[in-house]
Amino acid sequence: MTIHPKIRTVLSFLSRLLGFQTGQVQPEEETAEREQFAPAAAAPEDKPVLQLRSDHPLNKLWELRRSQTRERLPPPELRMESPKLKLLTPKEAKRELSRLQSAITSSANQRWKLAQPPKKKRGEEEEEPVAVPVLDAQVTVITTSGQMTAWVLIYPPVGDGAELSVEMLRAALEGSGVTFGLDEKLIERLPQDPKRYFRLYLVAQGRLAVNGKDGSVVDLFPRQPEQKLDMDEFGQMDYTQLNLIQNVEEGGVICRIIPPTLGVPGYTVQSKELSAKDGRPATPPAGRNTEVTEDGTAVIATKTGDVKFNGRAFTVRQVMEIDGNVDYAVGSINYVGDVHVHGDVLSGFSIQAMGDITVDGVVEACTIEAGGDLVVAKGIAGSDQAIIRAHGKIFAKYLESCCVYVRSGLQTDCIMNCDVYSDSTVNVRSGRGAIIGGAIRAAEEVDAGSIGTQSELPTRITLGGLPCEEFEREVLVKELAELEETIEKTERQPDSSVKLSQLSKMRMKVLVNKKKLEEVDKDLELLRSELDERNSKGRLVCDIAHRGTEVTIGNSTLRLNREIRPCHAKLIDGEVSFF
Amino acid sequence: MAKRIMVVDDSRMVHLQIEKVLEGTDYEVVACFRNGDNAIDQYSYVNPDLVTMDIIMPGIDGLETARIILEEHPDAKIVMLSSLANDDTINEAKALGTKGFIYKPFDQEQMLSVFDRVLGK
Repeated sequence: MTIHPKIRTVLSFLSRLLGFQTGQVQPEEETAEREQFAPAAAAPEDKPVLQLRSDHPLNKLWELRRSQTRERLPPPELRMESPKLKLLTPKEAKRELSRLQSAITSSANQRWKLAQPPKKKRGEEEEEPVAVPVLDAQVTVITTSGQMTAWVLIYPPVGDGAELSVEMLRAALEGSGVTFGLDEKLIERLPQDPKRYFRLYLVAQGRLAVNGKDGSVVDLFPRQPEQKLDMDEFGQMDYTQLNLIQNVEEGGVICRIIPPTLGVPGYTVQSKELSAKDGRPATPPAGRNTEVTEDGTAVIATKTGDVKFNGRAFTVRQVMEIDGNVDYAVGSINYVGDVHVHGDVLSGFSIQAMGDITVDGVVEACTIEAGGDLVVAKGIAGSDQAIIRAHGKIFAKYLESCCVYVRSGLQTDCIMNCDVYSDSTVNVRSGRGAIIGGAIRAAEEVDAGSIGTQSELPTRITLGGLPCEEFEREVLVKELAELEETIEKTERQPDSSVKLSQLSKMRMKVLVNKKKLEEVDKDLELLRSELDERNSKGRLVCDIAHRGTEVTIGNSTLRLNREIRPCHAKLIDGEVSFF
Repeated sequence: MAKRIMVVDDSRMVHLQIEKVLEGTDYEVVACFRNGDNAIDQYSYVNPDLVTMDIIMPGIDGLETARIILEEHPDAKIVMLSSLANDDTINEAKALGTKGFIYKPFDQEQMLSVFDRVLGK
């Protein structure tokens, strides 16, 4: 008998509603070992759901169950979802379902075959009743790849078989080795759940390994303190505000060391441990005059002084405080840390310090050498005798008639008749903002308000080159000049054996120094040959450059025969050019 | 075989001067570094017999550089070189485990005498 497809659909719906078989039986051979899933278009692509065709063995088992019990049984649904699911995204779950579909179909097929009554053998009477198989409920345990989740798919009993029980569930889980992360509430509740059959239930989840957190350092002092000078409305800078010293007392904490945390191992649902890495400890930045506390939680100062960060570690430089002037009462200073002079440094004295030097007053005709920065709040009046040297930066209110060497940059309000050698920049923008007379050599840039004067006082600017090395040459030249002057003075004295001896020594020294100077000049020539790239970077920037200003970059020199405002100069095609 | 000398000094002139001073002697400059960081990073690679170390340099100073090298390589032989030589500096250099001190400006005789002593010649 042929039934119209629409009528068949209605009958099917009615039979489901009322729990009757449709009377349509699919031939077995149509359902043998083939994938029986609806086309992908039928299911939302992002949902971890497997659609089942009507002839899938799970559907057949469901039909069988309904025919045997007449209960209202929701249709099979293979959905890998759960509100408690944390270790699989929907996409991953869908991939897992696709991977597991043949295993699920195979187990359903096996169950279906077991549920079929045995075929009657030849000779058996037709009237003899068919033995209905008796199968207890069956728990199929499915673990996802990596064994981080375990699911159960439960087949109902067939015939008079036993319904699902907690013991069955536990036995199946144990048999599959699923022992970690069990959802005990689900296991207890599932046997009573009307939807317990033909669905996937998340029964166990593993735990991911958690790597430990690396240790870290919390600084209580800035590694690069801000050396900011504010210009007021008159363009003045107050250099006394530039506080280079970061004070710490002996025992004071410089930074805290946060220890690493241990990794927490994870476990699969089969209790296999997943190893976790412990965090790595931070390297305590403990330099000179600091130490790490016994418990390793802090770096502390072992001496009172000035905290500095040298790029790798915190160090503490002791500070020598001079309350007044550096004069005959104090004498010249040579110190391994920082020096802070609250007064002036008078002519004829010297300060050498490995660290920073701060002078709250004036520096006169003396020698200053700072291993770090130099701050002279009220300026340097050198009387053509001062030699000022800083391996860091120099901040000074003004520079007058002195020889200055600086590695990392010079900032001042005014430079008058000085020889300046800067391996970095020269900035004269605040206050008067003027460079007047003298010679300024800067490896990178000179930035000033004005250069030269209207009276055409010669002012030389040299960019690029080797300011550091040329300064050393200059010091040698000065020493030679002083020696020769001393020889001259000594020669004028009345003759004596002492005079002869002194003259002999000094003349020998002059010879040695002249030889040294020759060597230095040769070395300079050698080093200059490597310099093209450095020269091309030299720049001059100023608002006004007066007549008489001479600009040299590399081998090219240009003397201004008129005022230029504003003035930007650099090397273009080997020539000093203004633009 | 010439002894291998590593020069750590921010002045290019000092590199050249030391090379000249050691010409024709049993010592040879094999590496020059202008700051402490590079010297520390490259020490194992250069593996010198002796290091000359300037005290004042940009970034880490020479005493700190010497301390770090000696921590990682306790057998390192380091001779400090500086114009800033006072008792405190020299004492600190000694306490770190450095082997000698040469005042700038130096001459060949002074340098060779210190080198010979440090290397046990």
